[in-house]
Amino acid sequence: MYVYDSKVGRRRFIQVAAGAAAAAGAAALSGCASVGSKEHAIAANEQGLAEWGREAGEWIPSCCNMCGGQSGILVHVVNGVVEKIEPNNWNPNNYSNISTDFFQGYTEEYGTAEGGCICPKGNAGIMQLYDPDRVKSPMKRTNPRKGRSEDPRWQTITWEQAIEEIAAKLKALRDAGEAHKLLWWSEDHSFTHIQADFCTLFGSPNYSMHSNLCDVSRKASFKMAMGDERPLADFIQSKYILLFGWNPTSAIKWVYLPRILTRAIERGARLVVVDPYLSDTAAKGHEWVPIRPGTDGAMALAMAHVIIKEGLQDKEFIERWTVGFDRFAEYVADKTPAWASEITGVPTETISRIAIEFATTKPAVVDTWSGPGQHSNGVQGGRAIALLAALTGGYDRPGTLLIPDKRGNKHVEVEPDKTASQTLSQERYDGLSDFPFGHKSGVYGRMWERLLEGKGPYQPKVGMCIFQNLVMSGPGCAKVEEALAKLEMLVVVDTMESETAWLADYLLPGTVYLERYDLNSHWVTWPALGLRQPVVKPLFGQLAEYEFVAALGRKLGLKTADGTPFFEVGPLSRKPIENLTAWYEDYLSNELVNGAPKITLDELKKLPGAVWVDKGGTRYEKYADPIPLEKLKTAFIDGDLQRDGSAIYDKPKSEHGKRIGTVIGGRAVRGFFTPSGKIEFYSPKMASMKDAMGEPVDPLPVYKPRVWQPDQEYPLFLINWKEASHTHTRTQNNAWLNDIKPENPLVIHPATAQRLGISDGDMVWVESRYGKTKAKAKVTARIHPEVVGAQHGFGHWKLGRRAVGRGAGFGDLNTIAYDPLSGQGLHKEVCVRLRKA
Amino acid sequence: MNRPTVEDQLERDPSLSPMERREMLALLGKWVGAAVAGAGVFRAGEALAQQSEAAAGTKRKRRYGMVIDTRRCVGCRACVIACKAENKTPPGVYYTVVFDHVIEPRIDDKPLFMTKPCFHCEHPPCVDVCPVSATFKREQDGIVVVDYDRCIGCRYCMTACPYSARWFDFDENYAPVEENTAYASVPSPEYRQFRRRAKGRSPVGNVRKCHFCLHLQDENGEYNKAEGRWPACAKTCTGHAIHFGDLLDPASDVHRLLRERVAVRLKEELGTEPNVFYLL
Amino acid sequence: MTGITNTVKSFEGSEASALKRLFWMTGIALMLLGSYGLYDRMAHGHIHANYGSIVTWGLWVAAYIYFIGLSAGAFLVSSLAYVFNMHQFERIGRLAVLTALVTLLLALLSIFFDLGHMGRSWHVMAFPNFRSPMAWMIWLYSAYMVLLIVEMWLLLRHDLVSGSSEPTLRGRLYRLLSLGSRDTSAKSAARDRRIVRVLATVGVPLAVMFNGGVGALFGSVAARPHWHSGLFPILFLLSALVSGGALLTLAATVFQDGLTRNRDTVVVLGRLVLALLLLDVLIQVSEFLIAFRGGIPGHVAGLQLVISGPYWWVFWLWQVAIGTAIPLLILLLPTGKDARWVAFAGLLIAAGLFGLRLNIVIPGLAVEEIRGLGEAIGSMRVNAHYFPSLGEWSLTALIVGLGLVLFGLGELFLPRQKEVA
Ligand SMILES: Nc1nc2c(c(=O)[nH]1)N[C@H]1C(S)=C(S)[C@@H](COP(=O)(O)OP(=O)(O)OC[C@H]3O[C@@H](n4cnc5c(=O)[nH]c(N)nc54)[C@H](O)[C@@H]3O)O[C@H]1N2
Ligand SMILES: Nc1nc2c(c(=O)[nH]1)N[C@H]1C(S)=C(S)[C@@H](COP(=O)(O)OP(=O)(O)OC[C@H]3O[C@@H](n4cnc5c(=O)[nH]c(N)nc54)[C@H](O)[C@@H]3O)O[C@H]1N2
Ligand code: SF4
Ligand code: SF4
Ligand code: SF4
Ligand code: SF4
Ligand code: SF4
Ligand SMILES: [Mo]
Repeated sequence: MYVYDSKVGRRRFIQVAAGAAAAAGAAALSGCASVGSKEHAIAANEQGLAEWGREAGEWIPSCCNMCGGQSGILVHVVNGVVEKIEPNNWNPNNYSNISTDFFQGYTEEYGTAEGGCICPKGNAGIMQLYDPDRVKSPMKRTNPRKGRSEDPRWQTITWEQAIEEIAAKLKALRDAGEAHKLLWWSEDHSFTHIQADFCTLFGSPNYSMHSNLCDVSRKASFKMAMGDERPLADFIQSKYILLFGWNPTSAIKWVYLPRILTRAIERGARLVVVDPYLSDTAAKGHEWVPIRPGTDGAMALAMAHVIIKEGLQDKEFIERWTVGFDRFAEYVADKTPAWASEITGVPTETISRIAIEFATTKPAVVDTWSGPGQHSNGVQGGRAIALLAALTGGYDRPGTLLIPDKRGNKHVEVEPDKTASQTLSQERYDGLSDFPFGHKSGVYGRMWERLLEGKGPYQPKVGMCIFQNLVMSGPGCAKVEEALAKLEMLVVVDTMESETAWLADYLLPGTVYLERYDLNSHWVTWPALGLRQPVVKPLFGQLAEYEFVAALGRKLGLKTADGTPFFEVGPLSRKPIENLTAWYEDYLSNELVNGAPKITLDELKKLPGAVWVDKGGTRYEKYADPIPLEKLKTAFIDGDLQRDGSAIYDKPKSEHGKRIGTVIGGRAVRGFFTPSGKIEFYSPKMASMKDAMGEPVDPLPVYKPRVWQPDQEYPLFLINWKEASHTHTRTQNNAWLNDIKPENPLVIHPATAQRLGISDGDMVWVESRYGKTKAKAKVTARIHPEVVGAQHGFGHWKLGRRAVGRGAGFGDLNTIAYDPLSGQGLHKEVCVRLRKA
Repeated sequence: MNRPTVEDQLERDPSLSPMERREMLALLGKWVGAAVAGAGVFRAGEALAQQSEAAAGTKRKRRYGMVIDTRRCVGCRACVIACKAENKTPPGVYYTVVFDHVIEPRIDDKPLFMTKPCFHCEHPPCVDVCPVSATFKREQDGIVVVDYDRCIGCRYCMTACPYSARWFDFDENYAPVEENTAYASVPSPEYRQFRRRAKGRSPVGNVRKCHFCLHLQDENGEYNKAEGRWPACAKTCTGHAIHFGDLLDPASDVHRLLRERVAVRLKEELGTEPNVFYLL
Repeated sequence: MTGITNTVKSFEGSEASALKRLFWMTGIALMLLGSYGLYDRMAHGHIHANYGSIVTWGLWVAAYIYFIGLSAGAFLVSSLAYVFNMHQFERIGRLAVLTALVTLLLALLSIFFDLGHMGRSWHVMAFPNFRSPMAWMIWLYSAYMVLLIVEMWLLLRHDLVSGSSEPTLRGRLYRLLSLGSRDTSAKSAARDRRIVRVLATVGVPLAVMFNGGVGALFGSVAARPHWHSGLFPILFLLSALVSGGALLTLAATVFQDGLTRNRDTVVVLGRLVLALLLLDVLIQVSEFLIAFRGGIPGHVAGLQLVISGPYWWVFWLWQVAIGTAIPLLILLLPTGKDARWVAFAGLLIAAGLFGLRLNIVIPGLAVEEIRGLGEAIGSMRVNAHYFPSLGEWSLTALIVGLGLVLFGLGELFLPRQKEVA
């Protein structure tokens, strides 16, 4: 058993094995002479205990990656096999997102007072690791035709051959001055830095990540309103929690969420969930507000109307820390609850009551995620919600939306050489710069569109997809498939033979997180970083993804500006390192030493739970923090130090200076990282911006109906969501997880079902203007009558034997769709009709 | 002793809204399929004190039990999987399952989550019926166990358990075991017997059930949370809803919760006296 | 009806041998069909069985209580001759005891295959639990089995000894079976009869007890409202008598000259069966009435499953129509005096009661103890719907076939019942 012992440095094994075994035999003995079933000794297997018990083998601290949550885990490895995965009590990510809660009762030996927890997927990691359907060796396509029904006719090849051939193709591209014609897709967290480095050194500006499928609309909404991409809700200290389309106790983005949310309720907070579906989070709430999809912005504006009309806004906060309030107040003057009620379907009184409750209960927090965000009007809708928080002073105060201090490992940027620089300066293929609130993760949808139409600034030739299921993650499965098939070469690195892998020219076996490294700067409100480390060797002797990238970089001889062969020389040690793993360990150490922890990888491994936690803890009202004098001395001030609103950077903007503050009230303070340095109800800057469609950006959070609306032919909204049982499209082959959620029925309201003659358990055809799919009906009043919906991720035609044909996939009912402000993929904006099958 | 009714107790719990109260009662009625009065409220303080005294004269040292907080349970089912991971149970065998039962009548079918391990009843009907004394209740701590080597697999105990807490091992296996990956070599630590799965060999063909992760006790029959020797479901619970401990120990979490909060047990009318309580 | 009449008529004359041929063919065919079930059970254990952890007892347990009932019923009929001196029935006494023995064997086989660990059956003796109805039941039928074997042997001893001098295979078999006994004196025969009488007398309460015991095994399970009824032991006993008697009418017709010499015996047996069946119906109806009037949800739920669940037809068609209504009619109408019709009614009743047994075992389990269990987890083993698998049917067929063959062999090789005065 892993108990942290500061004297031994890492872990201590409790030597009770032999004694316990002997006792076990005796313990069960007792000679009661009753007439009933008699107690008797059950013999223990001492040898088994010594070999496999909790005291045998090793407990290795690491981080989960069954989803992007990166929870801390302890992995019990015996005889080279993962026996069990348990929560890591030292990791704040498993407990709380504020430091006072985390440190209360924390001991170095045990960790947090109540211990950590991990979700079902975290527990089921073993089935992911040992899934017999995993990709085991590199494979090369021999069938030139690509498509859902085209068998790739894989030919098994060696790693040497795979790297050789892929490098040859890439080299040809680079030699021809076409390095920018490499498109690269990755997950948004795992080994991303080295992939970005590769692209930089190779010379492709087209490195993209899944965030644009995920929450870039939320990022944009908050960035517009208050200048931070990802404020985190401090539930546990809150007294009123209002959630718009955010399902934190089931779509467990971080595993502390179920605890802090239920604990908040226990401490008297009221939970109100606005969602077309009575999600598992809404099931814990006091009130569920069923809303028409894509109309959250209207509800938020009407709430603002009520709050302002009743004079319940935090006037002092607004006065000091915001701009544009008057224009906003003017805009919402006619956004009455009655107006919103028409649009949202939420009763007028409900809107007024919730507005008043929200504004008068202190502290109150409002938050939103994928629900409103994955619709075409999600950015401005989210912004309206973000501004509700501003009205009540709900930022960075206990029990509100906190600005996380997320310093962890530092991505030490690489300097490309001349060859790379030339192609690097090419425009991104997705035209990311057209998106006024685009995110560095890119815009997948734009790429698919351009590939399909043969448009865009140039035609890409090679695609590299690592840890993404582009086809199934949509929106618009069939179109994505078609687009990917246009590439001359597609390389996919995946643990499973995903639907995307099915289209690959080269399919390389990835590693499951238990076989590899990563540094995880955690999404809590103060700096904390957990280590992921290999607990077993890659099962099939495969290269970890970062090793593959480094190997490719070596083969291509990629160099930095100063001529260093980047992938051969340790970034920290500055010495050549032959072994790929050792080289990457040095790479990670470099990020740690340069980052907030300022320790090496080996030192991190020795910390309790292999977690580094900043002792400073969560700080509040950081926006009012003065900029320290020594920082000001070297800072770059964009404008007059005396004039309010002048932005302060740590370095000149030309040297990639980072915003550190603003001049407000004659003082240099952190403020908010918006153009004005304050929360912006109205943004003059936006008034002059255009979105990716060339339309002007609304300087106010104007409500516009989403684009795709129900009509006579397709009268129902179709939405989807995540549940605790699965992660996106990647766990449907997991044997244990399928036990707790074997399929994803289509949830239909009884009134709708009755009208269409559908009963619970019937198979139904779900049709949209783009396609159709068959699903099993679940008739329940848990959903808005105008809406049907299901858990996302099922309906595989590949991935693994267990996954294929399980549940329903709705990807073909949508088409390529992204939002023109942020590039967000629009997964939840579909309209359908139903027919009994 | 005059047992207080559920209504009495709920009346006294200020933390419940009248709405919740009504729902809870309705729910209980639905779950147990019996009149609500059947699901009794456990007046923990007095009853446990009496039992502590009574236990002093017997071999009974501890009375392990759980207090499960339905208000904290988010229905994630981590407990189900953690138990699988701990005990290496095969497909079809789930020592605990999570109900997400809808509280009726309601207009919105709002579910209420409840995880349900074996209740380790004080008077376990499952034990009485076993023809070969393969399953029994341990004197020292009240845990109801199955001796896999003795059990003949008649499944009479399954019919006798009112709570569906027993499972038959049909010899099915998950793919990683079935297809003989490295994981197939991992034995189940149950009862400290470390059995590997093998065709036709116990526990295949046996009835299996939750045993409060008995194998994690030390030589004195004690669990230790700090050392990780704690029921796997409780250890992983994302809502921290599963409280475990010795019901006879006034210092334990479970004892305290039963003193302070309203708890119910399922199908109280059967007289089985479950040692797993639900907080409403 | 005429079709059936014709079929029945066609058995007259050479009818007995034709019936016997049919009997043998059925037996062998069933055994052949059943060999797959045996292979499947031995090679794959329970994995292909369709019961799970909600409906945890299935076809084999139903078969078990069915055969147990037949055995007890047949035995009790034989006791009419040996205990209550109803000489009428002495003509079929041996047949009845043979029936009781064979069906007991089938019962034990059914439950044996149902066990998770067949090789551990002896644990019941080694590790007794005196509070387990099942343990009691097993001990009782073990005793009953010994008693049956001894009684059978005593009934046959005289004939075995007499026949053992023949130089044929049969003679050698008889020598073996006579276990060294040489005494053919009238005195010894009288002594045999005395002991048989004692055994049969002891056997009556034993059969009543263990059959009631099986009823108690179900009835005492408080967790299953459908079973938890004081009427259960009585119901079990009555239906045992009905089914045993019914089977005997059929067996007597086929093997004991029921259409000729023993016509009257069959008809009288038919009367007896009729009376028992009426009583059985009475008790069953009261069971339903009490349950529905009482309105205890779990209790009603089980019965509702029976009468309107997915297997409503087992109740209405199999149990009520085939097993009760039609034979009642046959026995009440003038056809009740015709041995052929009586035998046919016997067949229907015996078959129909299997439906009753199914309807005891399965609906009692198929009501979720905690609502929503079937949906709480995605597993075929956690499912309140049950229909026996091919392997289960097949193995049951093997057992039935084996019963027919064993019975036929016994009838063929063992000394035939002599005409009794
Ligand atoms: N178990 C599990 N957890 C996960 C993930 C996973 O795959 N599995 N993924 C992780 C990731 S990457 C993310 S981004 C997060 C996302 O976490 P969430 O944002 O919670 O994601 P969803 O469940 O997709 O959507 C949330 C809710 O939005 C509702 N909704 C749909 N349309 C609308 C609308 O128009 N308005 C409103 N108000 N609600 C609407 C849905 O019914 C759903 O309940 O989850 C993370 N956590
Ligand atoms: N309809 C609908 N679509 C959605 C959403 C929705 O709610 N509804 N949610 C969206 C959101 S929020 C997100 S974040 C995206 C996520 O979309 P993706 O990032 O594409 O995530 P997955 O669908 O899980 O696909 C991940 C792929 O990586 C593989 N993989 C898993 N682990 C590893 C590993 O360790 N190494 C390697 N090399 N490969 C691995 C898996 O087998 C799988 O093929 O989906 C979006 N799509
Ligand atoms: S939330 Fe669950 S799956 Fe995601 S990292 Fe944490 S434990 Fe793993
Ligand atoms: S819950 Fe069931 S299995 Fe557990 S002790 Fe009680 S009766 Fe026995
Ligand atoms: S299945 Fe095993 S434990 Fe259950 S009653 Fe039968 S022998 Fe006893
Ligand atoms: S106590 Fe142990 S055996 Fe029982 S359900 Fe929890 S994890 Fe499973
Ligand atoms: S792990 Fe805890 S919160 Fe999750 S279902 Fe089980 S009891 Fe409920
Ligand atoms: Mo996401």
